[in-house]
Amino acid sequence: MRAVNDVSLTVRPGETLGLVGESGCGKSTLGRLVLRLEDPTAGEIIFEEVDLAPLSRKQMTDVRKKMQVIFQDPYSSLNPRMTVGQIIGEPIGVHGIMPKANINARVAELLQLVGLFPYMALRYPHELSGGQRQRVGIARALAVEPRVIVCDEAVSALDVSIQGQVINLLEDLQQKLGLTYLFIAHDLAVVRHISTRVAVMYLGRIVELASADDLFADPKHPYTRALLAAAPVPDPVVERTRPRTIITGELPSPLNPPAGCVFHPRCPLATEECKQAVPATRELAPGHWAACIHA
Amino acid sequence: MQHGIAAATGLAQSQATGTPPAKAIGQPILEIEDLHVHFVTSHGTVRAVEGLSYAVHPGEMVAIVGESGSGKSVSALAVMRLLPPNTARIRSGVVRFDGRELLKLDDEEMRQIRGRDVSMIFQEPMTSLNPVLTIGLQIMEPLLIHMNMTDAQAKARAIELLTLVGITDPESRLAQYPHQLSGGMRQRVMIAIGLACNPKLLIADEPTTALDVTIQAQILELMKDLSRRLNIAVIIITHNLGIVARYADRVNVMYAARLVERGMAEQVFGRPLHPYSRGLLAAVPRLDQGRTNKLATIDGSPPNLLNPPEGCRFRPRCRFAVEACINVPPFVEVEPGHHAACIRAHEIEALDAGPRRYLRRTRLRSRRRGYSRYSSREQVLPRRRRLPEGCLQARARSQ
Repeated sequence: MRAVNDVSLTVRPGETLGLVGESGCGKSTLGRLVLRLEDPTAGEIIFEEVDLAPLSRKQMTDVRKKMQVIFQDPYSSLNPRMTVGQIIGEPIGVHGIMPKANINARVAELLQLVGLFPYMALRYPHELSGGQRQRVGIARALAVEPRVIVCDEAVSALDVSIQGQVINLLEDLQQKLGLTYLFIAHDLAVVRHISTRVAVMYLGRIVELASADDLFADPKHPYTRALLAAAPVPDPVVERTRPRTIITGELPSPLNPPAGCVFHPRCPLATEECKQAVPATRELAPGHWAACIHA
Repeated sequence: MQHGIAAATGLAQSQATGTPPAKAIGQPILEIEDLHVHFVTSHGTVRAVEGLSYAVHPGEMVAIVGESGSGKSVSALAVMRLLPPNTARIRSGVVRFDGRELLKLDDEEMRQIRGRDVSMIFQEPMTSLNPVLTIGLQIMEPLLIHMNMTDAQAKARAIELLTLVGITDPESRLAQYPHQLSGGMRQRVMIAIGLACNPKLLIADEPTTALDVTIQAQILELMKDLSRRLNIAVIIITHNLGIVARYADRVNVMYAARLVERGMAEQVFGRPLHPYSRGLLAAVPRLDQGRTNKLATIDGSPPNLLNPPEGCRFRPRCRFAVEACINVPPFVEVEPGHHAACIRAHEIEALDAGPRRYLRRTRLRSRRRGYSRYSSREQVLPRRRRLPEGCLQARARSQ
């Protein structure tokens, strides 16, 4: 199975690159590849001038100090038998960043950084709410002072009012610490809000890549347009005037992807030509790339 | 086919050609009055639903919105009488469905109604379908039990239902098992089961939360269409405000076990009266408006229902809270058909005027433009985005 196929992507320092797509499109796999939690079959992952693909486990440990991840589910990604202090302190100890005696002070500092209180270090995850748990996950990622954080659906499991708080926190931290985010999510409005640039994935391939404003103002790829049309807007007055163009069909199995353009069986613009060859990614406007021959 | 939907669709077609059925007139199919549900736990009593009242009319879609733990699912399960018997207690309240009081029926009578007149669609189609039974058997089960059909009749009806919910090649699907279907297909099967006996009321608890955006749109369009055509009342429980805006006729907003606002969708979204609804609407990033610097947020988190705050439950998080909020606010009609449980509901718009004016201006602008494109540059607020020096010259390395 080809979960991620022929993807080339650059994340610039200090930016947030949004990665959107439906489940099974390979966006999480791409995030895991970047962290080398998954090994690529072919290709390079270049981080600070070094190709990560051939590195050994031991060499990767050093790289992971600079690259961290925040997972979707704040309930299952924290060890229920460890206190919050132990959870956040563990990576500091593992990487030997500072003497053991200083770890508690650093944990207190990190808790304050993510909007929690130092006394919470003694609590267990089950004593915290979902939003607080996600903040602990963020504090754990920040513990080793990384440069890049992969946020894999980091706010998707949170309630609306809490989601806003965590998004704001991620943005504040980015400004304060100069972080770079690879922000993987399926909620288009959230991705647009937080991202500098956005890449749209479909069945293992990137079909469109542009700055967040360009992508949402002028989507070029028919799949991006379909995604935007399907996402409802919280305003009944606007909704009533919106055209209902809903694409039919479902995501094909990545075990047996369609020939040519992978989107052609569901595409309203598809022609005979689309079935022949995989469309090349073209730059249609400065910084705006799309893989569609009709775009 | 006397049980078939052919008759029902025939009836619906005459309606579909005209205007959709008039809303909120005539008898409601479901009325809930002052419902209280408690959970008895080892830590104390959790008051999961307190004083909930609402009504649903045939052919309309009513949304219940709220955060997790606000009591929206519990209230739906109370209507179905599916709450866990060991811990849940329905303390008081009336649930009137089609002229009968559901809370007074015995188990056998309730079983007659459940799955026939009222059916429910759950969030997770994988866990709510039986993995060791074929799709066909699961669709036919309610038909055999409630409608006394023969196997042949039930099979014919099952094929008809699968066609209705847009599943291709229905005959061969009947022999398939749930794991052979995709998530969207499974949810379509759930809807087919829900519709099997021509219910009058369909309760959908987060029906599309586990599905992708494009599949979500397909499923909801289908539900809306069926509700219109077959005149089925639908209660949709969700936390997705976009879905509510697109599909619901009427909205109930719940917060910490209580109803805080109710009105037609245009009223609640256009002129939210409760500070919680206002906060919720301001907290979601929107695709139809310019990007904002910062999301407005509601500080704090929802209260623990084991020990809720006195008076208005939203008071500790509310920007407009005053001394008098220490008393439980009455649920009053502020404008025709638009209720809110806030003592400052009348003046809330003036109090919250600043950001609101901006919102209304952009909304008008996007409406005038016919809302053809999602954002436009002139709407985009200057966005704070600090990039380190030289980042734009960074070399594109991964070719």
